[in-house]
Amino acid sequence: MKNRIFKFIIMLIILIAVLGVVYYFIAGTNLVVKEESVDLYFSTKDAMYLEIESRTIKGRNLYKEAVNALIEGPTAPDLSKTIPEGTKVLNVSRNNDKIQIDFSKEIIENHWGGSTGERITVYSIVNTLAQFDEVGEVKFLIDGEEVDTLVGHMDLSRPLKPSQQIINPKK
Amino acid sequence: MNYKKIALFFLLFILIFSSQAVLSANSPQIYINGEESTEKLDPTRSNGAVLVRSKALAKSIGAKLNWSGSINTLTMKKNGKSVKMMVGSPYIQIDSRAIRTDSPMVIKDNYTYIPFSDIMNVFGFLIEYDKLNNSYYLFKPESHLKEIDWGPDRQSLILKMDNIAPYRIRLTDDPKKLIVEIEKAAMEADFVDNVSDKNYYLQSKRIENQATLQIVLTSKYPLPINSDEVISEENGNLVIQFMPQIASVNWKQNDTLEIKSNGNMNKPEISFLEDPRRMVLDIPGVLLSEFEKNLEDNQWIKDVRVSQFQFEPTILRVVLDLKEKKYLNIVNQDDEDEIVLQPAKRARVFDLAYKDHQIVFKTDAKIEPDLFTLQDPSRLVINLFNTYREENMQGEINIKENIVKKIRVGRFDSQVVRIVADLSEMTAYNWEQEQHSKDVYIHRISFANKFDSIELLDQNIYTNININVSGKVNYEVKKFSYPHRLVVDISGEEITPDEVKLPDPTGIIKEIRMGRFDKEDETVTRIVFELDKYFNHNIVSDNPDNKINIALAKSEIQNKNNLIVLDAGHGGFDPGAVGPSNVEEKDINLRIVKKLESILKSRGFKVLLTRKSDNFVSLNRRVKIANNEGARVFISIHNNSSNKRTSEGTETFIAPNKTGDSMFLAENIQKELISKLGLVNRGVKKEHLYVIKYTEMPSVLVEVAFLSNPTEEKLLGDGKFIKDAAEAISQGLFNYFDKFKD
Repeated sequence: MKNRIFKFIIMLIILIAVLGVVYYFIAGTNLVVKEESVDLYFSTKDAMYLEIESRTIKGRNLYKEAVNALIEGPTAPDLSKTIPEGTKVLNVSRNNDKIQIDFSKEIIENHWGGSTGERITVYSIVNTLAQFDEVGEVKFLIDGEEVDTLVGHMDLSRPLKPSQQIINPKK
Repeated sequence: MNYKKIALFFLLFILIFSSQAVLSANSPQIYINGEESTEKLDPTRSNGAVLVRSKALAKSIGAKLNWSGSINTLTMKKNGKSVKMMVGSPYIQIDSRAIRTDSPMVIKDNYTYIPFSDIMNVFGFLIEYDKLNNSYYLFKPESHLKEIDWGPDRQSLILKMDNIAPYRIRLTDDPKKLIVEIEKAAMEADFVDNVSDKNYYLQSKRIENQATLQIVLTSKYPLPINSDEVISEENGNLVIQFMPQIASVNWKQNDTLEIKSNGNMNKPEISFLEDPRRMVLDIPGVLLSEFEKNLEDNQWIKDVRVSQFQFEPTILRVVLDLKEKKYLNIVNQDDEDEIVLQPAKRARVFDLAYKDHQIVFKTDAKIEPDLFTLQDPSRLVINLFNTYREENMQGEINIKENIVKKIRVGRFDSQVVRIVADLSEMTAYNWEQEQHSKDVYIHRISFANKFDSIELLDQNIYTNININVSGKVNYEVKKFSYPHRLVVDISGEEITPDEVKLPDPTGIIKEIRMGRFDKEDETVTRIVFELDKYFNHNIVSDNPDNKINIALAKSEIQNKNNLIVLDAGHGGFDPGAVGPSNVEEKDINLRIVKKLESILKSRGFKVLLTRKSDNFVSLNRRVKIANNEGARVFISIHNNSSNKRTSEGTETFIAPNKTGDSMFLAENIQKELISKLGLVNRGVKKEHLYVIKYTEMPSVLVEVAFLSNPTEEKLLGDGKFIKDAAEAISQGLFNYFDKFKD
């Protein structure tokens, strides 16, 4: 009996030790896929405001994954997507508090237009990225190039800070 | 029992892990050729040195060990090197010499422990100590220094190595000392030093606890090195490049003077000085050294003196003491290691004039004039060496300008034409020489701008603002609101604002201020006119100009000339939004704008469209049209869209950087649109929209209705709806003007 308890304790110690060692090695490398719950900003049906839908995203680059989640669109039926079909995130880089995000040209070509339509697209991206504490402003690139505007209204020649007035005050 | 075996194995595993952590806290880790050898060497510290088990050390480096118990002596041998030591004795015998150690050999648990760093050095190992991890790393050198020699012309030092390891140059405060550090390197046994002599001394050092080889070169004279980019790799060797040094100054048979160096020379800076007459050549990047000098018998130069004028940056100064009435010119510098001078032709000076606030004259050869100012009275003196004056050149020019009062031409002596400009005050100047044709060089001397006066002339309809500057300046006039003010920004560094008297405010101008600030690369002088009210202004002067004239309207009468810029969004290849039945936004926008134009024109307004037909105009161009024309109001007409057909209503935007006027205008237009069209009121919003952000006047962007909404798309195709929209916008504009008049 005593022998059994002894065996059990030893096996337990070994198990803990092995797990500890394994964890030690894996955590040391950068292979861990990060997982985080983020706020995605989607449009209300009347395109008047942006509203938050929370979602858990996974990936090594959470900025890119957050915008990819925006591209996928909302799950709530009373919200609508903000980024046109076919748009791809080509690159995301951060320098201090400024994010530079490069989109494929579909974001322009497949865009529905309008000051309101453009504003919704731009701020759903800026507000979503700016939820990360280290992000202050967002600069847009299209196919690697600087642009003055997306579809003829918003000034994208400079980086943008998140907008508070576009968030639905009732929610 | 299988269980027990596995359990034991893991327990051992854990034990090793934890024991290592405990060990590393006090005695060091040792790695020999990258192999962890701590356990078998069993290192302990004694008097700061590290003692290790002798048997294990000998084994890991392949040395032979001999222990004489009777005399307590240990001998270690490898590759003909022998190390001998005695228990407790502070002396270690290496071959035929002895060194002293603070931590002699000890016996512990029947094992001998020896000071390992002293011994490893003997057997050619490099030792690096990582203090942070308390670890010693022992390894064989990765490269060997075989020889140090001079490069061609003693222009470089060549370090011959069997393998190039990471290296760097350490500059010291002492210009006579150069340190080269090479990592994981050692001197070869038969190393050859071809550099040390009575002027140079070479030493090799090792930094304690580091595997870095230090080569220290000490010289009697400052070493010709001035930056850390002097070391490079060439044919597997390290080469330290020196700066060129002067080699010779020779007078040649064909009346030329050659200044040679042992490397490339940059273009010298030349100046002439009188009493005694001499020519000074400042050659950058060249060092002084022993040089050959041969002037023979010549009619031009008495002597040549060479000195190291400056070290950082390095400048070699060559002074030619010229014989009377003689000048030399640089003729060519084809060969970059020599400068060739020849007796200069005397240049003719002609066409002296005063044009565009500049003193202008010509010469038929390139010259190096000497310019300087003198005080009491203030004047600028220009000495033109080795020149003569063309007979019919003007000898005196009187100018009624503020800075230059008079230009006089004199003759300093038979070799020098002197031009003197009498100045009203001391000022900065700039001389430039431009080759106009083969034998014509144009010289221009310009003076710093200053304000002559700032005046306000109060007249019936306008107050004239006159800003008079001594030379032409670029400027910008901007109008700001809340409070109303007119801002004149003048570019140019040399305008001195403190010295001009600001006029007393008059008419609708209630205050005048002046200041300076830096914008990008230049200094801007800003004059601000604070206004009681504002109606209109016209810029009368050219740009650039030496006078800035602005006519500022004193009353509303002038408002008939007010310009309204209407901007129909999108156009050409950019259709804007496209409705479900394919109605294109660009067409609707233009229809509304054209209707609006005719309403405004019928009410006596001047109207300008950024586009009149279906063509593409960039956002930037639209802004420029409005700004260049000094429009009073900018209205951009758009129709909206979103990705949901349910979005609907009328919305007006202003830029967040603008408030006041723009907000007032937007609210008036939005109100009229809502009451006339009856669509959903989405309100007035502030947004960074390009065209309204960069225009300088009150600006709004109207999104009349949603093309993406089928009901509203249908409305926008209707002429009555277009007419109503245009009327509502014009009514909003008129209401804005009415309320604004106060």
